[in-house]
Amino acid sequence: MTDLTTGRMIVSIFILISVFTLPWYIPMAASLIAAFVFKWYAEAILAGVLIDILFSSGGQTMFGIHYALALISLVVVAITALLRSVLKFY
Amino acid sequence: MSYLQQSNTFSSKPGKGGPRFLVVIVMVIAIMFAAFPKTFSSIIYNVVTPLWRSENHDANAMNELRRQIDSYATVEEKLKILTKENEDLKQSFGRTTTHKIVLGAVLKRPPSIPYDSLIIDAGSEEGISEGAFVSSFGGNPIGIIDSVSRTTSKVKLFSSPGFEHDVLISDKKLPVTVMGVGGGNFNAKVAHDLDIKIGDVVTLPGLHIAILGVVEEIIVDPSRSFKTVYFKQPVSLAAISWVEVSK
Repeated sequence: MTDLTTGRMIVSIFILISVFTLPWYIPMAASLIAAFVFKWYAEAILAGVLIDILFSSGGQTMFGIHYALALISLVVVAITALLRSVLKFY
Repeated sequence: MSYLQQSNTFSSKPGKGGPRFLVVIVMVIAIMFAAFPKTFSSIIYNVVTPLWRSENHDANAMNELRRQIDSYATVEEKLKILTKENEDLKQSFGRTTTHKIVLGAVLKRPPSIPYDSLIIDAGSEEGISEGAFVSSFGGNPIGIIDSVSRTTSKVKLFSSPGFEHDVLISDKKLPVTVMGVGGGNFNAKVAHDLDIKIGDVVTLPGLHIAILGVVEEIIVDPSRSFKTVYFKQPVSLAAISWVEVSK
């Protein structure tokens, strides 16, 4: 449990730093993968919101959706939470 | 007693007639050449011209490229002169097209960021304000300042999906509303009868000549009352390192 918490912190710090320093798809991919590994990985939503706020300007959309990355993260986190509740060994 | 062997090339002995025959041919050619110089020259030219051509092919290609470069240099000079003349004329009518410009280095650009935006290293400290025009290094407009912090600014690119603006197309200055579709690309739906061709220049309206792009494709659907014009910014967004921001 302690290892998992430490791992979660390390991954979260990596994602946070990579939002500012690496291309957007690296923190997004890392946070979405982490959402499947860690329980209720709300940091993924935070990463999506951060990327949206930092890099989108006045009314810009992705696929016609405002705050698309935050929404994608939210959906993925919700799906993983749902999977955890219905799958016995997940 | 030994004697020097005689070397007689004109000997009539069998097997030694070759040289004599050659001499005769050369003499005949020389006489014919003297008698009909033009005819013989043209025959020789016809024979050797392909050889000369093959030899000079590379040199000619290089000369052609040099000539093209020289002509571009001339065009550039003419462009400078005409631009200066244009500005002088506008000044004489009491209008000026010169702006104060702030240079900004691009910190983040697509595809490193998911939206059609740029983050530049100049902000309110440099006198940049929201709504200011942003051009690529060289004068092509690429966007407007969307938000400003003390040391950085966010540029919303004209090619942002859904971002609409009025432009003028071709030298006839046809007014058209275009929409950004991302990645430096635009499209516009225009009436069938508008005379727009591939290669037409798209400019922003105003005193200052601001080239937004060049028409690259026109798709005409006969079943509809309009045609779709596609064009692209002349500069690649991924290659922009510096921008000019009008103050």
